[in-house]
Amino acid sequence: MAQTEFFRPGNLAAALDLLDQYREQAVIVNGGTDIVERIAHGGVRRAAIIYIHEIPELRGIGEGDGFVRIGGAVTYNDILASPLCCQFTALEQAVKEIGSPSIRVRGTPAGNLGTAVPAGDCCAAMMALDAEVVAASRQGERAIKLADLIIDYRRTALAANELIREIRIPVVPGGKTASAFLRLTSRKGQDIAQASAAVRLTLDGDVCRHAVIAMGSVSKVTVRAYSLEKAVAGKTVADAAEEIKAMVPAEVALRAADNPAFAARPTANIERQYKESVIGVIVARAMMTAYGKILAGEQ
Amino acid sequence: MTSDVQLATRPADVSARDRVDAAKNLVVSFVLNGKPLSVAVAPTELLADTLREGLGLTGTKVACGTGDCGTCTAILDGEAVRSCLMLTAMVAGKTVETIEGLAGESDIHPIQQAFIDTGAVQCGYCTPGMILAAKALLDENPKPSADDIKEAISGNLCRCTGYTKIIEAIDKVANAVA
Amino acid sequence: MARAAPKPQANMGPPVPRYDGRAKVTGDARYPSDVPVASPAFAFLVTSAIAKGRIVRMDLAAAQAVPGVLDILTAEDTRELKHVKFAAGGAGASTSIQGLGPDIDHDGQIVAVVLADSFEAAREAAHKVDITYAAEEPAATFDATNAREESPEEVGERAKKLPKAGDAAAALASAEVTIDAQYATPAQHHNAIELFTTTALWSGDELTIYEPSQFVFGLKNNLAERLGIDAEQIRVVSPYVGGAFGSKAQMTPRTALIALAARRLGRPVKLVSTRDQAFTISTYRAETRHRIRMGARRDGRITAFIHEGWELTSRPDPYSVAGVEDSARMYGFGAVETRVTLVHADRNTPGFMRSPPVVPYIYALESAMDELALELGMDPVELRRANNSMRDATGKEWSSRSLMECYDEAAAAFGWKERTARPGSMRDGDWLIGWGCATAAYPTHLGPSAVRVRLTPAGEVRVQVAAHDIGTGLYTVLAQLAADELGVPLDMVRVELGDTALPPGIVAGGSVSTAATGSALVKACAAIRERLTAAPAQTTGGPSGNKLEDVFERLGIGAIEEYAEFIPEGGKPDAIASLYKGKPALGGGSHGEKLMYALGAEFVEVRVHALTREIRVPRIVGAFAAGRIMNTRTARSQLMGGMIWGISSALHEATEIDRRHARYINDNLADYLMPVNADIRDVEVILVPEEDSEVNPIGAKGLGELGNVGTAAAITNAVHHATGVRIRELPVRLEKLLG
Repeated sequence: MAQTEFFRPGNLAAALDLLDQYREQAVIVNGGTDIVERIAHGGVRRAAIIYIHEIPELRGIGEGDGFVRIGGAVTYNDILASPLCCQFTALEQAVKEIGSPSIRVRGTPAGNLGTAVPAGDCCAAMMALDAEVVAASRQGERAIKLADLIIDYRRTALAANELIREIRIPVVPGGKTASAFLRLTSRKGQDIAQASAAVRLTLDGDVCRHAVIAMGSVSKVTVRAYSLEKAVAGKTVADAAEEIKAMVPAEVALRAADNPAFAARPTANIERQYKESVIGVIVARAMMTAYGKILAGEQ
Repeated sequence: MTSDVQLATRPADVSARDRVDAAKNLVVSFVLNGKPLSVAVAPTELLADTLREGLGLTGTKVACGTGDCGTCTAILDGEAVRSCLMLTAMVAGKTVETIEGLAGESDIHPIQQAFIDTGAVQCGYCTPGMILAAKALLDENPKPSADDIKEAISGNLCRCTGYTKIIEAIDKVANAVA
Repeated sequence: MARAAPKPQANMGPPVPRYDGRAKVTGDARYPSDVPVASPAFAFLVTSAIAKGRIVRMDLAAAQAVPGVLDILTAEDTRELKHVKFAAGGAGASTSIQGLGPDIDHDGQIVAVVLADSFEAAREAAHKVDITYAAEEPAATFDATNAREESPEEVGERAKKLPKAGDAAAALASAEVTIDAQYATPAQHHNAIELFTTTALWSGDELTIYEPSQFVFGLKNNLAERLGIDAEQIRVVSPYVGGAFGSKAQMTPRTALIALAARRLGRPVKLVSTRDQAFTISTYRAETRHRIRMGARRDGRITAFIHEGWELTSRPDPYSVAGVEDSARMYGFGAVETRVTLVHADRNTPGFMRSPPVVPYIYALESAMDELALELGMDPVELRRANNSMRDATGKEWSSRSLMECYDEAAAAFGWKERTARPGSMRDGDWLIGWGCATAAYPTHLGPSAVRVRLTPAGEVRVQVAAHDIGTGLYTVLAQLAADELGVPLDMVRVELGDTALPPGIVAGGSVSTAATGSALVKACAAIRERLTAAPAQTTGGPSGNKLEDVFERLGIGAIEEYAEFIPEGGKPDAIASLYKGKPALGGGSHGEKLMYALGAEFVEVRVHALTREIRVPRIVGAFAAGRIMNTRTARSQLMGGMIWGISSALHEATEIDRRHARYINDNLADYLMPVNADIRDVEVILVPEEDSEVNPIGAKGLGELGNVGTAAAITNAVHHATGVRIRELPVRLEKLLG
C-alpha cells in the first residue's frame, strides 16, 4: 500500500476535514499510549495518521449546561489536577490507578473510551457517572450515551469521520450524591483489573433513591448493571449491599461467556467462578464507600 | 502548527497547510538534551528507534515495545514518557531529555550517583529508564514520600530485582537535596 | 531505609560500589545491540503459527515486494548449517530443533528470516510472508493424550543415578505419622529485560558476533560447529548483559542464521527479536509435578522420604533438572527413594532458569515439611531442627552447614515466637495474617577458569577473563580481589570480561563465576607477587626502596603479566583445554566427596483479604550462609533480588499454555505478571558468617541462585497459616483461595 502520511492539524476544523477525507483510511492518534504501538508494529496500517493531541479546542476542562466538560485530548494527569473533575470520586479513583505515571501523562479518557476494551477502568467510572460523549464530524455533532457508545470488544458507535470532541458528566445537584470506583488486581501497579466496579449513589434519607452501577472486566464490554440498579432502588444502603452480593454472581455468569479474555485460557472456569463470587463484594464495597462519602458530606 | 514539521524537500504545491507528504522523509525538529536538532524520520517511526538507531543514543533501551517495561523512558517537556509509544513526529517543537543528557560537564547527576552508592544497579538494563523516571519525579516533587517514589517508578520493571535499593537511591537524593 | 550495605562480619568483604556502576547509570555501557556497526541490514524473524505439522507452501512474493527488503532466508537457504547436538549447560545447542522447517516441532519455531535496509521494512515484510501449514494436533503439556511419558525402563535407568538409601517403602509403612502430597509448578520464562539480540559482522573469513551471552566460549565453539568453520575465525563479544537468568547460557538457533545472513549479504546484520518471540526462540523453566511421601516418628524424626518428580520437555530433547538430587539430601532422612520421569510434548526445549533444580523440588520438599509439621503438631522450625544433620541418608557428609543458624537469626529478626499455630488465628480486621517459613538451598558448584593479570610499575592492574557479569557483580568482586591480592588501590584495577579474545572463563551459571574466576585470579596474583619478591634487594646505583616502581626497576622489566589456570580439586586435568573448546565442566554440589550447599531460611508474612482474597506480602526476612562473602553490597543485592523473584514466582509468574494449540498465551510483559516495585514492601537480608575451606581456594559458595529458592514454599505455608487453604499448585492466584 501507499506510504503512510503524518498530519498534525492545528485546529479542530482541519482535523475534521482530514478525517472526512480519509475516513477508514485514517487513524486518529491522541495520547498514543494504545494506538502507536499498533501503528509501529504493523497491526494498524492507514494512509493517514491524524495527530490530534495538541489541538487547543480539545484540551480544555470546563463547566456548563449542568455538565462538567472534558476535552477529547485531556490527559489523565489533567483530570487528576482538576478540582472540577475530581469532584467525581469514581473518576478520580479510576484515573489514579490507570497504567503507570508515564502512561497517565499521555493517555486520555477519550482514548480509553474510543478503545472500548472491557477492562478500561475509565469506562466503568464514566458509565456510573452517566457520562456521554460528544462526537464531532464535518457534518456536525451528536451526543452519545456511554452505554450506546461501546458496542463490542474494541468497537464503538463512532463513524469513521467522527472523533470524540468532549466527554460530558452530568452534575447532580444537592449534597446527597457520591460515587466510588474499586478495582481488584493481582499486581499493584499497571495491571489490568481482574474486576472493577463503579457506583454513583443518590440518597433519599437513608434509602437509595437512585444508584448507577457499572462493572468492568466481566464481559466483552463494560457493563451497566440495570437489573441491580432496579433491585436496590428504594432499599436502605445496608440492604442494598446485601442484595448486590446475592445477585451479582448470576449477573456475571450471564455475561462471562462473551468475554474474549476467557477463550482458550486453561483456567477460564476457575477465573469465572472467582469473578462471580468477588464482583458482588467489589460492587457492594464501592456502594458503601460512596455512602460513606455522602455521610462525610463530600460530593 | 506545522512550523516544526517540515518536508525534507518542500514541494511547490503544498495545498493543505497541515499536510506532510510521507513519500518524502519527514524532518522533525526538537530540542534534545539541551541542543536543537532536526532529524529525518519515517512517519511511523518510534521515538525510541530514532534515538537509538538514528541518533546513536543507545542509553535508551527497548525491551517490550508495548509500554509495559519502562526501559525506553525519556523526559518530554519535563514529564517521563514511553519513547516506544511516541512517534517521533509527535515530539516536534518539544524538549526531550535522555540519559545521555543527565550528567553535567564536571560530574554525573546526583540521582546517578545515588544509584551507584546504594547498589541500585545490577544488570543495568532498566537503570536509565529508572533514573529518568526518578528525575521527572524529583524535578516536580523534590521531597517525595516513599509511596510517591514507588508510584513514580511503578511503570518501570526491574527483573534483577532491585526495587528496594532503587527506592533507597531516590529517597537518598530527595533527602540530600534538602 | 538505611540498610543498603550490611556491615561486613567475619569472612566478609567490604561493600565497595559497583565497578560498572558509572557506565550503567550514564547510559555509556554498550550492551551488544548498542554497538554501532556500519550500515547494517536489519533482520526480523518469522515464526511458526502452529505447534506441530509441516509447512506446505511459503509465498514470499508480497514480502519481497516491500521496499527495502534484501533477502529472505528459508529452510532451503540454510541447508549448509550443520546440526549441533543438544546438551544443557552451554556444552551444546539449546535445542535439537534447528531447522527452519518444513517440519514444525513447536509453536513459535523460527521458519524464515527477513532482511531489509530498515527494521520497519523487515518487520512489515515478515508480516507479509504467507505460509500454508498442514497442522496436526499438538501435545501441549502434561495429560495431553499424545504426550509421550518415558517408559519405566528409561525412568529406571535415570533412577540408578539418583539418591537412594535404605528401604523407604518399608520405613513409610511402619512410620507413626505419614503424609502423601502432590504439588505442581508452572512453566515460567526468564523475561530478562534485555531482549535476545545478535549482530554479526564478517571481515573476510573472520566473524564477530555481538550477542548477550552467559558463555562466550560456548557460543563461539558451538557456532563454529554449526557454520562448519574453525572456531578461531569467530570472536564473540558480550561485555554487558541486560539480565539472563539462564536464558543466554546456550546457543539458540538465531545466531547461526544471522551469521549466515551477514555472509550472504556481505554486510553486517542486526537482529533484535521481539518480546513475544523471546518466549519461543530460547528456553524456559518447564512445568513440573511432584509426589512426596514422608514417614516420621512422633518426635519429628523423618524415617522415610520418597520424592517422585515429573518434568515436561520437548519432543526430541531429554532436558531434565532432577532436583531430587538436592531434596533428598536436605535433611537427615532415615531412608530415601527418588524417581524422575520426563514427559515429551510439542514444545520448545526448556533450559536453565535461575536455580533450575531447586526452585521446583525444594518448593515441593518445603511444602511437604510444613504439612508434616502440622500433622505432627510441631513448630515448623523445630521440625527442621529435629532433622538437621551433617550427614545425609546415603552417609555423605556436609562440608559446612549453617542451616539452623540461619533459621535462628531469621526467626529472631522476624519475631517468629509471637506466632500462634492455628490457621486463621492471626487476624487484623478484614485481613487474615499468615506466617510461614522455608529452607533455601543452592548447590555449590565448582568449575575451572583461566585468567590473565597484568601489573605495571605505576600500580595499574588489568584483569582479563572471558567470564560474565550478568548483573551479578563479577566486575566488582574481581576488581576487589585483585586490589587486595596485589595491594593496590581499587581504582587502579581495570577488569575486562565477556570477550573470546580473552582467556576462557566458566559459564555464568550454577553460581560458580566468583569461585572459579576468583580462584584463578588468586593464583595469577600469587605468581605476580612471587616475581616481585624475586627482585634483587639492591642493584648497583638503582633504587633500594620497596615502592613498586623501585622493585620493577630492579627487575629491569616494564610490566608483569601472568596467565593462570584454575582447576578445582578432583577436576579433570584437561578441564581448561575443554573450556577453550566451549565445554564447561561443573562439579560440586552433591556430586563430590562431600555435600556442598549454600543455605538459608526465609520467613514471610502474608495478608489475605477475608472477602476478596487479595494477597499481600508485607514483609520477608531471609538469613543466608554461603561461605566467604566477597562484597556485602553485591551479596545483599543478589539475595534481595532473589527473594523478590521468589515472591513473584509464588504469586504471579506462570506462562499460560493454550492446550489446544500448544501456544503460550501471555507472551508479553503486560500479561506475564512480574511484581512491580509497589508490590514489594519490607525485604530484609541477614548474612550469617560461615567458613568453609573445602569448597574452593577462596572459600566462597556462590549465592546468585539462593535467595529465590524456598520463597514460594514459605509463602504457600504462610497462606495456609492465614486461611487454612493449602495451595499445592503454583502460582497462588486469588481465585484459588476461595474455599
